[in-house]
Amino acid sequence: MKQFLYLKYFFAFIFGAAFFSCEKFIEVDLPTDQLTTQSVFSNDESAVAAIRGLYSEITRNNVYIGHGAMSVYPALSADELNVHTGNPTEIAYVNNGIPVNSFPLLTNLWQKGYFHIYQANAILENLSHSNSISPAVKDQIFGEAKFFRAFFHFYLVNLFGPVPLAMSTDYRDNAVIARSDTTAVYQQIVADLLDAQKLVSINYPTPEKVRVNKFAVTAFLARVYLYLKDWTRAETEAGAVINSNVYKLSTLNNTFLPVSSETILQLLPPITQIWNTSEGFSFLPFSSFASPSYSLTNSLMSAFEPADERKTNWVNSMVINTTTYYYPFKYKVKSVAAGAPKTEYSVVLRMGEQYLIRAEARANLNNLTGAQSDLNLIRNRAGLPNTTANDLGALLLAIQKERQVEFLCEWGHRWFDLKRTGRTDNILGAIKGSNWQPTDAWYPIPQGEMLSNSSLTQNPGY
Amino acid sequence: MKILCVLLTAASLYLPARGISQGITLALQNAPLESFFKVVEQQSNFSFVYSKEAIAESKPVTIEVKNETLEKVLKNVFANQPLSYSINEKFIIIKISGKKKDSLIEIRGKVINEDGEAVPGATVFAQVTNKGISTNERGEFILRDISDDDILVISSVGYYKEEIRVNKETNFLIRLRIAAGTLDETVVIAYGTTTHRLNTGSVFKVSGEEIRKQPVSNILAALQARVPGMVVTQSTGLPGSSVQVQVRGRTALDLSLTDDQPLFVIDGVPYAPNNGYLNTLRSALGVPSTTTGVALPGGLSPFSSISPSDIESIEVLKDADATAIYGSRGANGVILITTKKSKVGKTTFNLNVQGGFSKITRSMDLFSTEQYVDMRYEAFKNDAVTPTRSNAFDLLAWDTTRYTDFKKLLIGETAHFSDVQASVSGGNLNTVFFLGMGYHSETTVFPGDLKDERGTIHVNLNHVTQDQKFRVQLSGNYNVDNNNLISTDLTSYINVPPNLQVYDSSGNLAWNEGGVVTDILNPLALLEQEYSAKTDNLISNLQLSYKPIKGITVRLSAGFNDVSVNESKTVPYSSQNPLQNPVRSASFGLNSFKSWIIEPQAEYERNIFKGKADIIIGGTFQKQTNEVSSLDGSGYVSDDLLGSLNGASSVRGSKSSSQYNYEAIFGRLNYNWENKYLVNLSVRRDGSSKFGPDKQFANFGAAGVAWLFTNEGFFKKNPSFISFGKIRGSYGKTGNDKIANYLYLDTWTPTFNSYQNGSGLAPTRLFNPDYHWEKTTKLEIAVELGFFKDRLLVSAAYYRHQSSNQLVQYKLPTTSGFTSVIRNLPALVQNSGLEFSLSSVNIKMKNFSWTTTANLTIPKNELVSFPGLSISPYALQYVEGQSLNVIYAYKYIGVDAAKGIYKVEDLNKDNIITTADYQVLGNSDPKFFGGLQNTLEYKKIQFDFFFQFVSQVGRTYFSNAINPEGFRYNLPMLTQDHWRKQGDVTTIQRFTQATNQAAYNSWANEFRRSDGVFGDASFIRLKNISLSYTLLNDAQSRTLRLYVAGQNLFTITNYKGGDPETQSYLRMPPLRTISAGIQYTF
Repeated sequence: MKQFLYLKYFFAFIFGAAFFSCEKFIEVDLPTDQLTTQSVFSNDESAVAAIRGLYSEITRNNVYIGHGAMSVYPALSADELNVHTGNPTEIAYVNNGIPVNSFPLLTNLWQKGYFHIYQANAILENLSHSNSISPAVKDQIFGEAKFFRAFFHFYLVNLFGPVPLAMSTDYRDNAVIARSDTTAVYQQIVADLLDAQKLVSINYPTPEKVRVNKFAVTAFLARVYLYLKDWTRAETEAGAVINSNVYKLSTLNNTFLPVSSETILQLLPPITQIWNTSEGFSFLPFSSFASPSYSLTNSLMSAFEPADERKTNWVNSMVINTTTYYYPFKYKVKSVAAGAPKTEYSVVLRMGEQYLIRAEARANLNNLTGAQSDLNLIRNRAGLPNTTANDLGALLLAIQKERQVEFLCEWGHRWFDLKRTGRTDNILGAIKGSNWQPTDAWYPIPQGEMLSNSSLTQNPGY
Repeated sequence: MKILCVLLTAASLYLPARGISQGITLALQNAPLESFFKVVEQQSNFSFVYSKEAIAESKPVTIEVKNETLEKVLKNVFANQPLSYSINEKFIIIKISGKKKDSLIEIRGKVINEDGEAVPGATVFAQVTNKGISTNERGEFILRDISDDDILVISSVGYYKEEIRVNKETNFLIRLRIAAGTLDETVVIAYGTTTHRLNTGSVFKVSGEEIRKQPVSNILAALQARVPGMVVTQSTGLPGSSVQVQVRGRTALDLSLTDDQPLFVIDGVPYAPNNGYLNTLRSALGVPSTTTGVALPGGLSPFSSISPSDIESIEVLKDADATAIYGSRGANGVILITTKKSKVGKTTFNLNVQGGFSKITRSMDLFSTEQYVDMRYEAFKNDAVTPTRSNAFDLLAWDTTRYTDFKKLLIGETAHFSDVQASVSGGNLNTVFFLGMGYHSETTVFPGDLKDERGTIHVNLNHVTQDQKFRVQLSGNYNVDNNNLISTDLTSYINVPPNLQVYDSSGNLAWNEGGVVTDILNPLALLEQEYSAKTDNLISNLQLSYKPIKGITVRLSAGFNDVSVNESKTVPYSSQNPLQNPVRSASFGLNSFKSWIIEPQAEYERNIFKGKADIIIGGTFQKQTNEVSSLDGSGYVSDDLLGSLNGASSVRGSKSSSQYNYEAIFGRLNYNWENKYLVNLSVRRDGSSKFGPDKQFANFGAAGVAWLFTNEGFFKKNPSFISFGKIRGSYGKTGNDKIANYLYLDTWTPTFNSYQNGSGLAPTRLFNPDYHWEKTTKLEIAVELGFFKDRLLVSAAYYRHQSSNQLVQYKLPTTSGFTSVIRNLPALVQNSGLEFSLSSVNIKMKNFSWTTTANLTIPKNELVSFPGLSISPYALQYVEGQSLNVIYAYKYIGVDAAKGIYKVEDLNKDNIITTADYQVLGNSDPKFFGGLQNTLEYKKIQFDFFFQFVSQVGRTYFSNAINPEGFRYNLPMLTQDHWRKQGDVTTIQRFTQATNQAAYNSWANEFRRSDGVFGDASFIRLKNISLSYTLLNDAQSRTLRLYVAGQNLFTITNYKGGDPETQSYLRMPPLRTISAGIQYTF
């Protein structure tokens, strides 16, 4: 029976080896290319990297909600752009017949918007649990994250109408989230911006104007109040930016350069990419032989007064087969070699808007002279004489017309202005004919989202 | 189906076995006795056994008989001879009369197998003296008092029977050949071997021979339709492309997260890349999924570097009994690949040279330019849109008289392949070796000089000490593969407008004809985008075993596997539209898998009561790492610099690594009661690093039983036409852990771009430590029967696999910040079915034989339960009680004869078409599938042909189409029959040219989501023909063989589309290959 003895030892050895090494053997090294949440928010440096990650993700791709898309799709839906790519997806935006499964609708606008909001929420949640970050850094990052949460909710609510308000990172809540009504979304936007206003510093945290400071928050808040028709607050906030004397209107051709005295917030395009700005890359033609992808509509071109210098400085044209194509020329560089310094930055907020916000607020508050003087600053810069509008109705229309040419193909201003002033049916109905339905003012909720979240409802008309 | 029926009927027509009473017709005049023997051997199943002395004593024969019984003929002939005869089974033994007693001798001998191992317990039987004995532990035997002219018959389970004439010799070394193709053939199973006869589980073996008869370069492709219950699908017909394998149906609800590929084990070592893909860059072979890293269909196959010539056999393990010992990795079956082993014997050289060519098989006929132009104008007319240079540049800016047959241009070439294999093997009783080398080269049907080359080295060494106690075995494979393709499968461009300008007037690649800049790519430009993947693959295994005392073996198996792929891809200036701001770029990728495994084992054999018990116990320690790095350069100043990063103005790189640790203890108890009752119990406890804390360990196990009822006394006493009968069953639990590493961690990853000279961090995924293994509970009951002395073997099995705890990327609305999260879904998927296999020797004569093997599977896949399905994101994808491949869609009811647009059924009659109108409209699972092989041998000629058949519904052309008919794409001829005017009754709607049209909407929102895009995809394919002629086969065992083979020769199908297997006319179909070769062994 000696053999049994051997066997016993052997089995004991194997079982022993397996059991004792169990827990230990299957411990693995962490992935080399990732950090755990805890370690990210354990020191200033990596926490700053987290907020930098938000900026970097916003500018990561061309023609996404935070980087170019707002200058293209709403411009197609409104009366600013024609499309020449033959791309059926884009034609659907011009014809105001966006299919519910439209690819950019979900991917470039909705989804990316909520990704950025998640990222902001993740920073807010983890930062509030962290005690090892210096207060100044913490406040600044906190404020920036709040700013962007408000920023993207603002664009979503203006594109889609009532939208889900995503306030946490818990996917179990966010997956079944319903649409909040517009008022609730705006309440949150205002609350976030007011918080941010308190938290971020007056000075930009880094060189150049590519991170959010107090004036960027204030300027955006002015716009939000304008949209809410809270004229008093709009005037106050815009006034705070204007009276700070930090920014002033620049010459037309300097407006979109990094050195522009006018810009309040710019985004730095990724240095490794060949494009300069998403707008420049999208709007400027490939070559002198081929039509640009998009051209400005006749109605937009006819909105320019003859002497308007913006028509020559911010618009360019080319002739292909006797047809003249006008295209946006605010950004003048289509692409640069990858790695080369960027000569233009994507302008998010600028003084021109603050004057027009204040003009509109003042007009509505019956301060017509004040409104005229703000408006005239913008007109004079473009080489135009003072406005002749001197009653409220005419002045408000003059401000809208000024906004149309001042903000052409810039961040969807025209599309949102038409909607908030209730002029979509009149103006777009006349231009687009039978393609235009009143319900087209709101983009459809993407079908993919409807399928994976049964709490969502569709907008009328889709 | 008709063909199949005929063949099956033919297979069942047995020639009646000819017995002793069969008729002999002959006429001999003074002929030598040996020529009499020859005639009788030709006319009967009997062979004569005799010595030279006996013939020397014989007298000439004169006889003339017609249709006389053998008995009488023999009596007649031997009446005048000084010889006597006796009949023993198939032998007629001739002895010199009256010589018996004075020539009794004692003989000694040893019985070994081909590996030189002693064969204990083999029966040695002396025919003449009618004496027998079994060999001892060391395979030795002594037989006393037997005739010096005796016939020894040596038999042992698992080996072919050997007959040896004693011929006055007294010392014998008898080598038994391992039985093949019979019940006693060795079958490789987990941690050991068994035989078909004694196996309690479901294991199907495909021999290396069977694989090598097919001129295919991927060993997995050679398994197609050969194994019951296993579906093998080639993703494309390009060299190096992946081959998907599914054993007993689909279990994965979410193929982007887990896969239901079986576990691949090569020589006992789990293959590090399993059956994933190897490429990290996009190539013509397929696209790696960017989200999960799990293989999408297509990609570079990890098996493309392995040569079929190095394969000894492939075993497919299916049921719980066979797979539970693989624990968390056995749920989807296990495929054991065994490479060639050495055999004892004289040094043998083998040289095999083969060459052949391939063409595409099925594809669709497309419109001519005239038809295309008509189609486009018709679409504009239908939509009441005026063609302009911007919306109809193909009509107004392009030459509308030009025609290019893009199918011929892009995929119409002939691919060539050549293959050279050389090996040398041999050795003595203690040491044997096998050395093999091979080279394989294969081109494509694309234009240009693209190819896939492979070089392989295979080494196998075996040594056993003189006392047979210590054994060492080393096997090593080193394979190098160089896959030179392009970045995109050109088949996806065969539908470009046929008037697209390919070359301009000066012979350069043409772009933007008529000055209109378009996104339409000149497909020939893709040939400039070179792609190459260089694979290095080392698979090695060392096995040490020691038998300290009788019945105990301790074993250590250690393996190492290193697979690395070096890729590069270039996008030169010339491959891009010069007016669309071309940027030169190049990408480089390195994907490396390293895995080592150590498995200590102990085995104990002992007789307990009347049975034999075999206990094996062991442990597994495995560590696997995967490193992926990639470098992208762009902004080069010259195409010539694309091979390097130095000329790039911008370089981006990434590198990641992951680690997987796995350990287990396992045990198996096998008990065999007199070859009648068999019980097999296996257990395993697994630990894996793939899961979060507290979810890392789990237990698995199974029980298998078998009853060989033909070994019961009552059967032995009353032998019938049933020669073998076994009923077996098994039940057990296995798991599936095929999920990427670290998925439970919520981590932050450096962002794609930096911002202000600093890298950013962004969240990678949601925190989720709760997911766990998938579980599959397997049940199987099978009957295996042999008839007519095992000439006909049939088996039928019923299986039921229930998979639960499904791992899914639970789709989230993007408001959650991510598109999905991993969860174990409380769903139950059941795969059940019937599997039949048959092998039969239809005719067996001296010069002619005909054998048939066939298999048939009738599977059923069912999503048994899915709590909360209706409110889950899968509500529109799956239906309880239906297959996972359910067609849940609108019901297509034809084209509206008045409006000319597609119509689907408004099920709930609410006058709008919504997903509430979805209905169950069948599924795309195969209804049945199988294969049928026939082998005919006549003298030196062997002829094989193999049919594959599948009955299924699949996605047709209508599902492949990117846009509705009328857009700027060429169309297949079958769309000619479409709606043109009011009142037309057709199945294809009117042509349309833009997305803002009603006809587009009806296509995109209704037809595309209806069952109209499905159709019959059943087919019968003559998968393989092989014909070989043995020119030389002499006594020194020199053989020279010539052969030709064909693969995918023809397909009978009603399928509307490209190939019914790949089900896409925009992907390269499997090719038709013809090859010829020569094999010389000396």
